[in-house]
Amino acid sequence: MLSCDKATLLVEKKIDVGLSLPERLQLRMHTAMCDGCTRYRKQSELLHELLGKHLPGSGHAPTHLAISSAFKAEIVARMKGV
Amino acid sequence: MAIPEHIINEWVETHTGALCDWAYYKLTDEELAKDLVQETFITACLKYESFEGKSNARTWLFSILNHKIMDHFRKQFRSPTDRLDRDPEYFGDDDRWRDDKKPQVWDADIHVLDNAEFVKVLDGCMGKLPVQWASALQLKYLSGKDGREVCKKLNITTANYWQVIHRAKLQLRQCLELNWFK
Repeated sequence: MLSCDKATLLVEKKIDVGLSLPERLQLRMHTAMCDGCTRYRKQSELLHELLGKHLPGSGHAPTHLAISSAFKAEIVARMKGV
Repeated sequence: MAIPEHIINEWVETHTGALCDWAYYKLTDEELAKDLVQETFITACLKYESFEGKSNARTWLFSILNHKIMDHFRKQFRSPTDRLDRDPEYFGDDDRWRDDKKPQVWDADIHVLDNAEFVKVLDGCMGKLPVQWASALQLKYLSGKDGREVCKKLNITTANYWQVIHRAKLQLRQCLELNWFK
């Protein structure tokens, strides 16, 4: 029987690239008898969705930096020098 | 064709703010963020010919910036600036979940992202991850690539990579459960 440590590792592999048939069977057998890992799997799949949406974002940030016109002028000057 | 001067002025005026805001959000280092934004504009000049009105300027500039952000995460992964503490014992001697670490039931779906408070908690939990682990996650999701591709760029084995992702997700899951889903 898989350990929960190994089972949760397989969950991550499954989410990323998928599992081989023997791995899939091992995981299924384990989760059928382990509610901790059953929940982990569901939650990790949700986390994957959340991170997949949140980390790339849509380029929108919650805070605004103060940008001086001096900073912008510096950029323009460097670009003109290229 | 070299980048026209009026485009330089227009792009810097229009896009610097948004680019800096995004870079700062990802990197949490204002100086570094501004440096990368400057480099983004320089790269845009050098590669202007490949742009030439083919797409949306903001989209294009953001993609240049995101590549530089990913380069930074790659560097951070290779030389992490913090110590990797021994991570908590999630599993007992019997190789099963410890009672106090076992996942509880969550009532949640993707729409939890619409809640600004949740987003703060998620960012907070990401911030608590060891730098190396956070970098691996950022790279994976920013690049949209699967583990095998990310490994090649990081020059590590897939086994090593999944070990990192595994520990990172274990910690992230626990942090979210403690701070939100409980």
